[in-house]
Amino acid sequence: MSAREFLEQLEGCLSRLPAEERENAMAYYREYFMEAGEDKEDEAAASLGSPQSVAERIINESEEALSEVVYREHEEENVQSAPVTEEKIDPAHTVLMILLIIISSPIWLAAFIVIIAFCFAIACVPVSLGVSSLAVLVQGIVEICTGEFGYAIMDIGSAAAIAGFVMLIWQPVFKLTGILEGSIKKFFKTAFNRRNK
Amino acid sequence: MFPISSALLDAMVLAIVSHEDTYGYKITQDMQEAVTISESTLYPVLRRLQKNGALDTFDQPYMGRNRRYYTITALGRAMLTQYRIDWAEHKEHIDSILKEELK
Repeated sequence: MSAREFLEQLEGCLSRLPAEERENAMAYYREYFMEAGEDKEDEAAASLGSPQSVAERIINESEEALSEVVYREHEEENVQSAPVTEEKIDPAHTVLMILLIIISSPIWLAAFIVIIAFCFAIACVPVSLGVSSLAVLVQGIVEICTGEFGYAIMDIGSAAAIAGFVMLIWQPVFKLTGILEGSIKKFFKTAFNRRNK
Repeated sequence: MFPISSALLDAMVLAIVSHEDTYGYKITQDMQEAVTISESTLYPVLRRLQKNGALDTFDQPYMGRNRRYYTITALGRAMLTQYRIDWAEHKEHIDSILKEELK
């Protein structure tokens, strides 16, 4: 195949590309044949393969690049739009929100205190049990020193039992208080995010 | 024998152009000295690198016609540096399995 034939067929295969892309590729391959030299045209055309396969590679690459550009633009849009909505604070809404918080304070303040007290009470159970376990342990040690071994064994055993119980309830108790804390935070977050809408 | 990935093609082309401004046909020849790639491989690679801003082109008259030269941009140099680091790491990983003596 001569260079002219090759280039003609290639141009035909690239017809679906934008004119700029097509012209760029054509210029490249025209130059390619020039560089190979007039006497080596057929050789160069043969080593390039069929114009169809050459065109296919160009089109694949160009379409990939195109979809990448579209994707990138979308990404940029998202990045730009995200912080804008969060920064939009209407001063009138803020004033209303503060008024609402003050007016409704007898309700939410009471509820808030109840929840906090509840958390505190629950957290007190393992803490007080832990302290009493320590106290009984100390008593047991004192009893060893004074020679009351019977009482000592009983006290140290009870201390171990209480400590074991504390270890058992420790995790669930703190999970429960953690959940309550999380829901309080969530409540305030949603309450404050509303003003942005 | 081993397929050349498109990232590796990008890296090799960037390395060739980073040495001196050069043209498509010459880049193909240089590449073929090192690896077996088909003649039609390079245009899409050059076009992609150009669109990404890694390469720039300029035309220079040569024997009564224009020759399109490729030149590396600052972005292209940064990409090449990263490719070199990634390649060294990749090579090390493969060698850790391939090499004869035990670790």
